[in-house]
Amino acid sequence: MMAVATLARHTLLDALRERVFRLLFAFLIVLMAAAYLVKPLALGEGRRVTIDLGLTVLSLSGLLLIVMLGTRLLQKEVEHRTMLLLLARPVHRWQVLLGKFCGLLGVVGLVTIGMLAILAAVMWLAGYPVGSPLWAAGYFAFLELGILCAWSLLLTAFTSSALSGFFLIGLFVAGHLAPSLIETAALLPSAWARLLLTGTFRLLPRFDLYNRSLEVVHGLPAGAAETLWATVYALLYAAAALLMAYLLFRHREFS
Amino acid sequence: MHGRRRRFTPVAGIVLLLLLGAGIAASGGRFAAVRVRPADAAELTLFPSGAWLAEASLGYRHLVADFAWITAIQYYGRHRQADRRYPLAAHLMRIVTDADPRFESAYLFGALVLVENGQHDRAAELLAKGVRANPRSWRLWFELGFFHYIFTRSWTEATRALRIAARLPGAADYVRRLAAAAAERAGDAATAVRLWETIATESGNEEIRRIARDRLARLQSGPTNGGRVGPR
Repeated sequence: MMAVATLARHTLLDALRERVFRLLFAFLIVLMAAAYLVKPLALGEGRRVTIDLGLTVLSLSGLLLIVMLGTRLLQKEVEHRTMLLLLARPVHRWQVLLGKFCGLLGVVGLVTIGMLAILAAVMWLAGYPVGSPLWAAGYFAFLELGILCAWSLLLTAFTSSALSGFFLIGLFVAGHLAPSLIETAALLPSAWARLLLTGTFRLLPRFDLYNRSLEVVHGLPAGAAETLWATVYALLYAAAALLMAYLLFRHREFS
Repeated sequence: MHGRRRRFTPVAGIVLLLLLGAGIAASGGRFAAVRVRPADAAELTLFPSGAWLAEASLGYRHLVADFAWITAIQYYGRHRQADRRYPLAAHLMRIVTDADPRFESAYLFGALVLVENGQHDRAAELLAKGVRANPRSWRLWFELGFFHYIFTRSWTEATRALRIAARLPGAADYVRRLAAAAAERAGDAATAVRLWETIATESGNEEIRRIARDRLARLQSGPTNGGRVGPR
């Protein structure tokens, strides 16, 4: 596990050198603007708008970060030929993948914490209550981004960075719209079309379940069962994506 | 290192993937079951007015109307599958029709939803707005007349709207029939006779012409009261 930890630490430091934390400043500006400009237009629903916007931007910034960093993690090692050096050492390929995943997850975790802290500060300054539902929403958003981190490695294991980014955004959108597939399937007359849509629904990650902005607006904390199953589901989904990435990556030739 | 790699065969990988898939399906099901979402009391509260949206659309007001229309349809669908109550339907239809006053389907569909919601006065307002904005639409005049015929039982209003609808180009045959029936109910024998006469001579359907002749005969032989007949 030392190899995984070392790789994760290097991935994290490498990401920090890329100044990803500029995203936090952009986030801060967007939120301040929302809190102070949209508030008078929202007819007394300024808190709601700030929360909705804050959590949406958090989720989208996380996606952007993974698209920018995650899809280039392996490609960069290949392009710089450092992958050859890495694999020449007593390091397994699964350790390379797991190390990269943990490093990327660390970056995403830090950014999520930073954005949540900014959101909480903006809400506090605007006089809105900040409670456990906000932290729960942040944790759920982190789990969602964790699944995306694993998928970014899976996608880069067999395609280019650009295509990986494109597919990752598609997966994010599809995951959020997953329930619409089942609703559409119920309306279709063809059994085959219903089967196809239901199958696609089963394969897609249920990102819609990880959106908790409504709960934060209504001040509802996350239940223990909800948190447990959200975590188990995200872990298993990420594990499956990493396993597939490994199966594709293990025989890949580097020159 | 190579020896170790061989131990993890593709078959083992697939088996592991299947196990993970089963775990994902089970945990996903449990997660969806325990994830209860609160009802959103402020649903669509922040949706601005259609007039404002039209101004803010920088000339793409039809696009705004389309967006509002899709939102309205989704709102209807969501509540149709749940509580079958549509408290914001009037608001949404007002937005669509403010953004595009010629959006006929919005008036027609909106009136139906409002009637379903028991808001008859709002439905009448929406249809009246529709005919004001689209005075050449026989469908809207027909819907307004039909609405009065069925729901408010205001035969005079129904006759007036249906007569206008019947005169407009493209109006279907049944508009005249309903206008004649409404006029009879309103006690306006002269209008009823005139409309039935037109149907009896102009309808392309022999059966309808026969029914029109029967109605005419009944009207002409029945008791009259200064050109008016009592409601049937």
